[in-house]
Amino acid sequence: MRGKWKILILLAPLAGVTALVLAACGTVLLQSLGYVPAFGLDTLTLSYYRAVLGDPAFLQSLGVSLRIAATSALLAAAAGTAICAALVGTGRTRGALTYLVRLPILVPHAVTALFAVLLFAQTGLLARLAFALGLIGDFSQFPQLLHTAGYQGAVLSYLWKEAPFVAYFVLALMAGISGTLGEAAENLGASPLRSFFTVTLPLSMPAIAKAFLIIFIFAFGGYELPMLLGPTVPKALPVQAYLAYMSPELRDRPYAMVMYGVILLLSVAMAALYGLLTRALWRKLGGERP
Amino acid sequence: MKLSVKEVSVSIGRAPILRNVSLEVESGELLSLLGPSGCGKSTLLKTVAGILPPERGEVWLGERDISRCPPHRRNTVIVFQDLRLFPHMTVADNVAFPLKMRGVGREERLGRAAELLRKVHLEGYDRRAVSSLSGGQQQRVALARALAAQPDLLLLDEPFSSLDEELREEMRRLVLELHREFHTTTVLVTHDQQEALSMADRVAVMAGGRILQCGSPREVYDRPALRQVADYFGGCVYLPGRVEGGRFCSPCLSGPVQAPDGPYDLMLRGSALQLDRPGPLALRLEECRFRGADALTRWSLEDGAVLERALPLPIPWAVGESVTCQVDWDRTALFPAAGGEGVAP
Amino acid sequence: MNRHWCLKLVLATAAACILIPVALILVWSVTARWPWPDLLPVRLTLRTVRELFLGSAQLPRLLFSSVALAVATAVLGTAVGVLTARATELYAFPGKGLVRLCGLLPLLIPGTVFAIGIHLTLLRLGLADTLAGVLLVHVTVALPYCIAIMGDVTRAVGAGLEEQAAVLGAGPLRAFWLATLPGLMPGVLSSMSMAFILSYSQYFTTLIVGGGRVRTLALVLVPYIQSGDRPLASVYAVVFVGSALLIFFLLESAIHRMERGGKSK
Repeated sequence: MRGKWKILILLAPLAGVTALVLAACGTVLLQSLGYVPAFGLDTLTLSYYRAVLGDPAFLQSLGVSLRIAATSALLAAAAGTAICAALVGTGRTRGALTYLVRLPILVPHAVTALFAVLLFAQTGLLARLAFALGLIGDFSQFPQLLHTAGYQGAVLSYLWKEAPFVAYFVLALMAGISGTLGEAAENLGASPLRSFFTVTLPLSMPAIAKAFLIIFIFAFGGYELPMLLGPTVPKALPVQAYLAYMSPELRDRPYAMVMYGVILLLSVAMAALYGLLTRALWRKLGGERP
Repeated sequence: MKLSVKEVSVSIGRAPILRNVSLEVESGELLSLLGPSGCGKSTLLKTVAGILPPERGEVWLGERDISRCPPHRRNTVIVFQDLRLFPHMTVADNVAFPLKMRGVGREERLGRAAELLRKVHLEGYDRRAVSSLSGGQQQRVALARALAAQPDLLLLDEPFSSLDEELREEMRRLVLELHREFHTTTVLVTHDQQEALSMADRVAVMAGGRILQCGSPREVYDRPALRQVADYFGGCVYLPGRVEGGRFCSPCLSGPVQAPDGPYDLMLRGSALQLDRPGPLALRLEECRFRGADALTRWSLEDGAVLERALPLPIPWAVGESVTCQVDWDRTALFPAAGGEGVAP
Repeated sequence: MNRHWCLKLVLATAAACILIPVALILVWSVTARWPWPDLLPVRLTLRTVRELFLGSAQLPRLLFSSVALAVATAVLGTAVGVLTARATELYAFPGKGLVRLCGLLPLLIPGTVFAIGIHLTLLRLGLADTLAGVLLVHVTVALPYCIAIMGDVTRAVGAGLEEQAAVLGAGPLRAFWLATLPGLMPGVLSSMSMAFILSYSQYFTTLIVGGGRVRTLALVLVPYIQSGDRPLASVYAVVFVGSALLIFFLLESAIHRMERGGKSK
């Protein structure tokens, strides 16, 4: 009996936080269904969803955000895994280099946007280098990377910040696997490359996939980078949603909330999909029970 | 295949672990590396397998210098203490792994795996997940996987230490059985004296990163070349005395030996006592403890030193009784008296 | 050998990619004139540094409030992390999976959505546009990391020492304080370090929930970057990254000392 109370007390703060999170989500969803009593809207309806989902501008924004999230997460996961593998392969799992890898974790997204401007703008350092090397004759010849519909600037900024995050996130697990099972594979005749791809990498996948999910959800709902580095059209979904939220016409609030609702529901769906996949994989690894 | 380790030194970080180690293991032999934990025996194994690079020295396998050969081309397979079975593969895929690395086709390698699983008494476990097996079963899978590689050299790194005693004995028997069948040159690392003495053709005793003595189990136990080796096996007393004209003389015991004249200490173990033959050594039974299958007796010598000896029941003497006995001189060793420590005669 | 060469190339590239932009803002922060297409600035200045201290942003106050908020987040988040980890790692109870999921929730819901929703919720609680509200939101954002880090150390330390202290006569709180907490300390500091960084660099949540009343360095940084004044934006970025690094290294060296001390004992 006393044990039960102890557990409840220990979990009370988390319960409070969870209640806040759920209340926040509930509020967004409720308002997206047209329930905003403060503005005199008190009937639940799907009409706002219908209106927004039928709007080509919204669909474009959704596409942009999905693309930013997918490419950023994929590139960061790949680059981060490569960095991690290099750290493990050269035995540098502690020390100066790992601190360097953690540096981008300290840098806020807004500052990475500044990096992108200073490096990739048409008057940025890369353009200057290209000019010095004779590759371009004038800054207007340098390819547009910022404020483009392709959102290259935002993706590159996410890559700079999140690839090291992946490397650091996966490092302990991969080093542990490589030092035991990877070593065993080499001992049994697998070349270092083969040992990495047949043993170390598959067994590091849970951490890599988790990092991918975190980055995907973050980049999908991220505001600063697409706001600072994106074009006027098409806007990323969180930027579009914030604009709608700030609209002086208060009775338009549900339209903004539909966009936030879509971001929320798709993120949760991604997380659920991840959960189902890992559970299926886990069951497969568990194999037949005796 | 014959293994030759030639004057190998290894450091990890700045700490020297192996100092100028040389060792030969004959083709088909089972050699045991015996020593306390931290003596460098696992390091030697990893150096032979190419996982740790030696600072100096060479490793030869048969007629080939493999010192520069990467681990995956050495064909020197370790069964690790923690087994290191691949958790994302079935039992059969684990066993077939080395064959897959060699490009053996799926059908053939799974057939081979099934055959090896039968040899380790795990028939029909092919499709099971590794995590569903007991500790002893996992041990057998690791062994089968190592054999699947058809290693030139099989290296067992304390592979039974995580098992309970009964299972350990069963595994020892299995390893000996497989060794008899495959004649794989084998190095068994252990800190269990009985395991080393009962399984190996030869035992190499290690301490402080060096090999102290290498010889048959009887040699290293009964005729240790160094006090350190004698002390490692333990249970011995040293009787100080002198050798004069081929005869060792001490207050408690004298007898014929082969050594030049001078002061010596005679190492004597309980196992060298021939209690059924009256002789020059006077003893008193101090204690007798029933142990089930036998009894452990403690005997004091005239100078107060104490020896232990397990004896079959019933014990014909009463505690406190004095007896005299013969000594099996082949099971004793002479060391130059303290200060002159060095090689035994 | 060949393979090491390849891996070292990967590491060198990564290191260069990480360091070059940081070096670039250092240069830009003291640049007076850097016309196209020069590779180096033609004139340096300390105007930006003067602006930092004399300008409208009131840097010292800003730094103080940002650090104070982040430290409070670190302490609170880690405390909740310690409690939650104790429950999930040391006790058996039904519904543990659900509790773990609750701990991950803030990570699975984009911060932008959470900020908007929580702002409306806090309005009802009277916490919107207050420091307390912002603190609550920052703690929520940091919590998944705090719980994960504390979960790892709590599992590693276990209940053994505490049980030993208890049978030797220590009450539950003293047993925790004297026997378990010292072992948890490296994890406590890592968790605080992570929570600090997360709070220190929050932008959107602070913007929405703080309603303009709560000002942090991360918040005022954005308009400077938007303004296009590269030297001024750079100098603020340098201040931000520099102060974050300083605190990160203070915590990190404390962890290091602690781990070494733990080993020699």
